[in-house]
Amino acid sequence: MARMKFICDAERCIECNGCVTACKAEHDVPWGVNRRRVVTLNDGVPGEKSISVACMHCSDAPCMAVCPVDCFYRTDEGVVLHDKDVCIGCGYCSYACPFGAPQFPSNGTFGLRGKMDKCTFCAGGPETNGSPAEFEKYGRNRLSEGKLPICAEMCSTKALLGGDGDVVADIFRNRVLLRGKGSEVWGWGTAYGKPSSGGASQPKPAGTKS
Amino acid sequence: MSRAFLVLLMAVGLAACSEKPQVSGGKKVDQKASDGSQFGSVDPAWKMGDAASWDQQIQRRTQGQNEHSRITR
Repeated sequence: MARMKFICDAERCIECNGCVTACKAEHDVPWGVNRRRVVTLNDGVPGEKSISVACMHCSDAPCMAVCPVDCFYRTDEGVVLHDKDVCIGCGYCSYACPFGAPQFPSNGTFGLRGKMDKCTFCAGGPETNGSPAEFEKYGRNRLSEGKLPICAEMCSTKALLGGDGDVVADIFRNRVLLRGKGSEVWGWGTAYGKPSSGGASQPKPAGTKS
Repeated sequence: MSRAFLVLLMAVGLAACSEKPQVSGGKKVDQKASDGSQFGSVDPAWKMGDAASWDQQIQRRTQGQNEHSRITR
């Protein structure tokens, strides 16, 4: 059985916020709630690194441990979900989560806090798969459609990977091993061609005649 | 008469002291993702209700994110 996980490659993330936008659009996420966001370290400094963060669907989830009404559950695929009909919006999970995943919509006057909302790994909630009731509370259920989370599937640089933890870890490991640098970088030959296959010839040192 | 009235008064008065139970119905049982969906646009590459087929489908989609398996070097 798959154990669903996200992994983000900080070497590839270009801080386009496409994942954030896609998530908001796919699930009709309300104003003030971002289930996913892009965090940049050393912003503006050469060599800055960005990473896309949402619920990590922890194997040992602190939110589940602290919830006073026990509204969380883990699916067979390892996705951490919650039942909004049980949630009382107390915010304990927000303090417990090291990734800042739980979000609370402002609901009505005086900043009244609503029920917790977070990334569902596009797996919806406890309502019938894909039903309007499920969509209204949790957004679209792509897993039940045989698809992966929209943020990962549409990531243009494939910095964000989502799926079976073992598989995405293998993809990432292989990528790191083959990454290379300069003209050895993976994909260079595909884009610019190799010298042996009609690519650009090596520049000659100054002062030599052709 | 006054005794009956007193009993009635006590019954009405004590009724105001009752409290509705506030027990949660508990978490609902979620449907498996491999059961599929009757609503969304389900990818036709797998068979709904077949867990093995769903697993294969997810593995295939996950590999779709691996450019090393999609493009030759």
